[in-house]
Amino acid sequence: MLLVTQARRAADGRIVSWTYMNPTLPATLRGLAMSSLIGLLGGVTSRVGAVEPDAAGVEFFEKKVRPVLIARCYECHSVEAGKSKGGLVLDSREGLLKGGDTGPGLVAGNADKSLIIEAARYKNQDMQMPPKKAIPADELKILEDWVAMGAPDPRSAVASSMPVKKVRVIDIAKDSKHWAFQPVLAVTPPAIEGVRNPIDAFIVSRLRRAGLELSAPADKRTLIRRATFDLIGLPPTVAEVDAFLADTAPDAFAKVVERLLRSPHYGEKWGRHWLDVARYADSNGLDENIALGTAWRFRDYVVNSFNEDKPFDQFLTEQLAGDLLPARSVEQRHEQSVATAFLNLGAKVLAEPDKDKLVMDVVDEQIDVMGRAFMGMTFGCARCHDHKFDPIPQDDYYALGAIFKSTASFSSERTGAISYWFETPTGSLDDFAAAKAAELALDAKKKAVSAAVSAADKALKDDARAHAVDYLMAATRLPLQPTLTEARQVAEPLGLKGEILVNTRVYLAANTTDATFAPWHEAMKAGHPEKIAAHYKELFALVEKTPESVAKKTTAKVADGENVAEAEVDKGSAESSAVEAARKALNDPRGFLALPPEPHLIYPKDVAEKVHRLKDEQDETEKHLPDLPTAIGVHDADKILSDLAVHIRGNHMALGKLVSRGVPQVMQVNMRGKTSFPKQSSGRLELAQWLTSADHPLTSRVLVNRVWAWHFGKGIVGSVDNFGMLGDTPSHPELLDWLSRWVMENGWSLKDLHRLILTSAAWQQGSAPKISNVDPENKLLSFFPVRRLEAEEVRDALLQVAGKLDLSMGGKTVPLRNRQFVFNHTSMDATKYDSRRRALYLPIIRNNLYDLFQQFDYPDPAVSTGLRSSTVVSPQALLLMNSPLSADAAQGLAARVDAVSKDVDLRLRALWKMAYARDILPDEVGRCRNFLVAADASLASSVSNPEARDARAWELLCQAVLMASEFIYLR
Amino acid sequence: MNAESTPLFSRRAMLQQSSAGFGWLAFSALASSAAAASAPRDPLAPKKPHFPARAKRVIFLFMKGGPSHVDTFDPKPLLDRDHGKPPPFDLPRVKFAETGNLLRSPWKFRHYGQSGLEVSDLFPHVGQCADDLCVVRSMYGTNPAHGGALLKLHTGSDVSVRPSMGAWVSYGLGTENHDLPAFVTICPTLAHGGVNNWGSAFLPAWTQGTPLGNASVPASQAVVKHIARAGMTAEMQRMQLDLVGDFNHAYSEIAGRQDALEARINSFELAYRMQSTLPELQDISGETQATRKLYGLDDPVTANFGRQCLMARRFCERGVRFVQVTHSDAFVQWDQHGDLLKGHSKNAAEVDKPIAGLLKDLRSRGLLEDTLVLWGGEFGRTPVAQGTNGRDHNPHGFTMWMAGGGVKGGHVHGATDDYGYYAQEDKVHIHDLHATLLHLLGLDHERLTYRYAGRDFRLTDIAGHVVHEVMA
Repeated sequence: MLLVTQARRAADGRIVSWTYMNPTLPATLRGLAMSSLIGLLGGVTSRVGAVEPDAAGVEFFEKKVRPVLIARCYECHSVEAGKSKGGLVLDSREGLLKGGDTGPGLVAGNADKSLIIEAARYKNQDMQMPPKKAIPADELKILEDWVAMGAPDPRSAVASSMPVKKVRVIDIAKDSKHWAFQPVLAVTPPAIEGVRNPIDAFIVSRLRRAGLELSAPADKRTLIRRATFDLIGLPPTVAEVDAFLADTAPDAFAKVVERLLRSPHYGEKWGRHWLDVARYADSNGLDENIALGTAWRFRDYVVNSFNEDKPFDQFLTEQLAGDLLPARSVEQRHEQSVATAFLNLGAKVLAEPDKDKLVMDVVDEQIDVMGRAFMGMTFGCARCHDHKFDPIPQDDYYALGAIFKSTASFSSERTGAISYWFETPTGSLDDFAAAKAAELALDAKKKAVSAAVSAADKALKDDARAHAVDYLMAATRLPLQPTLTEARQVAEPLGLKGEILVNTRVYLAANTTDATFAPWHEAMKAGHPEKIAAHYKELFALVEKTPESVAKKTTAKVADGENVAEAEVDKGSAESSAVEAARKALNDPRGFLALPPEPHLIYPKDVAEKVHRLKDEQDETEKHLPDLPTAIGVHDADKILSDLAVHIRGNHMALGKLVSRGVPQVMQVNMRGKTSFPKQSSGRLELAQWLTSADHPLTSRVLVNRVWAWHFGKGIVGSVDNFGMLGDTPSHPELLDWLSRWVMENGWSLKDLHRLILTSAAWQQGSAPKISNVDPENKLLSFFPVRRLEAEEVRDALLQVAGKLDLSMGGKTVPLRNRQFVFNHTSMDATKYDSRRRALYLPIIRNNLYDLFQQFDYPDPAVSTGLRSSTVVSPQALLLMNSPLSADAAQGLAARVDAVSKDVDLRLRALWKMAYARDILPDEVGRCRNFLVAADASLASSVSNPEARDARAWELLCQAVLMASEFIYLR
Repeated sequence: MNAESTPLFSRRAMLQQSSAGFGWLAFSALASSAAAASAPRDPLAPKKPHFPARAKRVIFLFMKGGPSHVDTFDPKPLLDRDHGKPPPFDLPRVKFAETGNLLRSPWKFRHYGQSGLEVSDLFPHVGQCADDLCVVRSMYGTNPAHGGALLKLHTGSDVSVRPSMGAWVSYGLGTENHDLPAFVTICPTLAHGGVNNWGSAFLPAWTQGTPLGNASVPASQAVVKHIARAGMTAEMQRMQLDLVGDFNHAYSEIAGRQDALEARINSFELAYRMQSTLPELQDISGETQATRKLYGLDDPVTANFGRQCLMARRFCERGVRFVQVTHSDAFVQWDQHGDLLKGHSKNAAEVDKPIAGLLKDLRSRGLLEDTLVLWGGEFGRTPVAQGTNGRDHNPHGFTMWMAGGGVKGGHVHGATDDYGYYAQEDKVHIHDLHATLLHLLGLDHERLTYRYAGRDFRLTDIAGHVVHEVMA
């Protein structure tokens, strides 16, 4: 595989009136490109009239032109067919003159400037119509002649009945009435007797309207297990449960909540929620999967921000524009720069050869993630056209686009075709020097590998050369295209390599006329293969006898022609050239003695082992080499754009009108201030300020709704990532608005929001489902929804109860150097997941996610996700039944239980407390005892030692406890 | 549901009632409680196509790296004639690498079968099946790099993560075997898109491909992850699962009867059944000597890919909807930027006999009628040389072929230009291929949609034309 920097050409200047069909259009466009003349002809009103047709013109049109148009164009571009691809219809004069998306279809009198002619000529690879096949030359001539004569066209206007698809015209004023774009209302909680928490006031009031009530509070054991997983993502320890049970004070649970909110593991759990939204990953994924080796700094930044209870408005601003904020210290500057990784973590097609397109693809991803994360809107749709459902015109998209295109996301470095994202320095010059020095160690390792490989290859080559005649002889015994098996059968008894012999035979077959090998073929043809040995023995001996320098000198002399008799020259020349040709053949690395493509496969065992060992050492060194002290992020581009051209159909080669930097209009309707953008910076800071202004209708609503969903398993607005026209309506609109205002007025504190929610009766109620025809989906929360643990919780809980979880925090954990390939064109993924640190710190490899994550609904790490799904699939069961992780956890738990006592009942009691935070029931004791007896009997034949058998039986029992729903689900 | 509303729970009764598939019970306990409120339904149950199908299942033989069309199924006499001359046409605006002059094919083409279809000497065995092949010589895509091109071919998009075609087919048609996944991919490559090439993206999780091993694992060792546990007897595991079952029933009574919890009980039983179904399916010891020979299992050169092809047939026989077989070594197998002769010789030798064996075997078992076999790589290669003896990536014109499943045999569709650089006649874009494939399966590509993030998505996005000319 070669990665060669490809030639690329930027669009020189804006092309306004028409465009190429670019072969690297975004996916949404490419389809169009191939099926129609889309993006070709555009919406500028006709400037170029056609002559009023005279009789001859009309006749020419009717006889010649119309049939061609009907046969070749109308299928996709006519009223009759009901199709107007690219906005172009060709069955009326007006349609043709008006053109499609980017310009008039023709310039009367000038064929060379007419788009339909250019397309039909098929010379421009990017613009060819009809799409499947060029029209015959005579038909093309007709069209050219017709345009040249002024395009006489007697057809009448059918504009009124043009089959233009019903285009929805966005009415910003009207659509701004959508609930989510309306100002956040000031609401007073309903007064309900005995209800103190405002959340409960809203919830109970709504339940009662439906004739329902909250459930009775959950018992204390259920509550502490629920709260501990909810806030720190871990099961409560036995001691924590006991302490809570012993605390009879009225504020006992509030104290638990405080303890959990102060735990540093809170940031690990809640930061992880945000990392879903930020589509966090440790590798790029998509086409070239290289390590995002500094992304961990962003992960740690998020964890710390949650632990500090950083106000959300500040958290948002740092992620969009941290590099533009003032800083009091270098550390703060670094922290704020790290935050901007949020904009640059997206999966990129790094080897995209069209770098202009790549930049716009990244801008698109940034607009999309920003819109989704902070506003619950899908702006991506507006890249190619006005949003189909939401009041987001294409202009709004490019107004935001100007902000992000004024932002630089790429580094100037790249390797071959692979572009690199931008990295902000976060260390001192000394740090850089140290990292650079460490690279020298790697260079030494690399050199050792290549020296060993060259030596091994040379040994193989020398050996092959020493047996050159044998290979040529052996080749006589093989068919034209031998299989490897056939070649081996011949080669091995002779001490030759089958892999080389295969090539020798194929090479000979492909070089029948080559002077060196002609004798071989002649001997074969004559049926005297035995002559081959003699001929080549002599020839190759001559090669070895004649030093190369002498041969060269002779040749040089011959060339000079000085003092050498003609005859001798001839003789010497012929002989030496034959010898030289033979030498060349022997030396040719791709010649008849060429090594196979993977020579290491035929190295002698000891050599192969040495090479592999050196390679492993190199990989290890590289893995542990310190990265440069940098962090993925963005910065303002050198060139700040105050406006950006609309990309027609999203095509970066088809530019339309300019739009100024700005924010989406529909949210602005009900906001007071107006955002203006400075000339010197990208405008990201102003965008962040706009998003966090108190009268923004979406930011706070989207935030509190997410937090609510992460506590209750579903949002007040069910579609947590879509607040647009197709999103769900809120189940409790007043509660949503009350919470939104409350959180803003409370300094955007998330920890306060948790306190408020966790102390509500709604959150503390029991989970037994109620049959209800009124509210079958429990939208009104008449009971607490049971939930399955999330992927990380499953993994961490397994290790935690096994006593094997390493709770150390932070730092680089992906075992790859920044930008190192996860697997370079091989399918060998060396990523290990056997670390015992929390799952938060396991590598997130896009394209090849850890299987436990995959099976337990970890979201696609390339896509911003506000709420995970929770599915039940059989591979989850397989994983718990058969994976080393499950066995390891069971073994650890059994060891802990074993340490408690030798008494079976006491052990079982301890097991239940560790795994389920409750007392074991008498039935369960009986069932477990039966299992232990049966397991012992079943194991008797395979495990003779009774103690080992007992230990094994307990492991199997512990595993069953961990596989059971009670462990994996939260009530 | 409520514990009082149903009689004592019976596991056996529950298992008998619900016919659950490999990845079923994929309803969401959180998001789609509306669906969960009604009786749980197996989403993998076979679904009716939009119109009568010509093919019921697909085997996609994917040649990773980009096999050269002008050296395999698209003969170019002018390339031979003008060897060494500069190309008499413009090169594309975006190229992958610098290339030189025209390079002739080192292989001869021969006419095969009654159709006289031309196949190069790289594929003498496949040549014998020429009358089954429908060769599309006018394929074109857009992305000249492996990653983008793989994603485009497999998912229709090289910009974003989208469901793969196998996932769309599973979503549209379900599966006919409840103990197996609807979509299996044998030894897939993890590079260049990796999982995304068989992923479900936003489609339900059960539509995703189930990988058996990967490209760096020999076919004989390619298994579904965690399908077995060393040292665990079936008896012991049965006892353990019965214990888990008892715990789970008890928990259902406490936590309240919830579909997710009941689904979970069932998922263990399925997993247990799969542990015997899959190894049995992958065990080819019951195949006759003749069959093994047909697939080249007796030759180390062809044995690995032969086994992959044979497994594909066995999966198809048992109702798997979409089977992908990938030919890729630890490198980019067909990517001969240099040493075309050697590389393509080696690659073709590994797959030629197994592919022909698969076609013959499917035919003799009557499976070819309704099994669509698709062959090809992510792009073709340039007719101009890279270096002295290699070819560069070429997405502008290349060849894929189909066989069986309602396509014309011994047929050539479309053409590239005289030298094989650009698709020229009856061009078929990747989207058109997808539309056609779905059509053969009875699915209208414009109607097979899924609403996500505020819009309806399709495999063909907003493009795609069914190529009716290839249909028998």
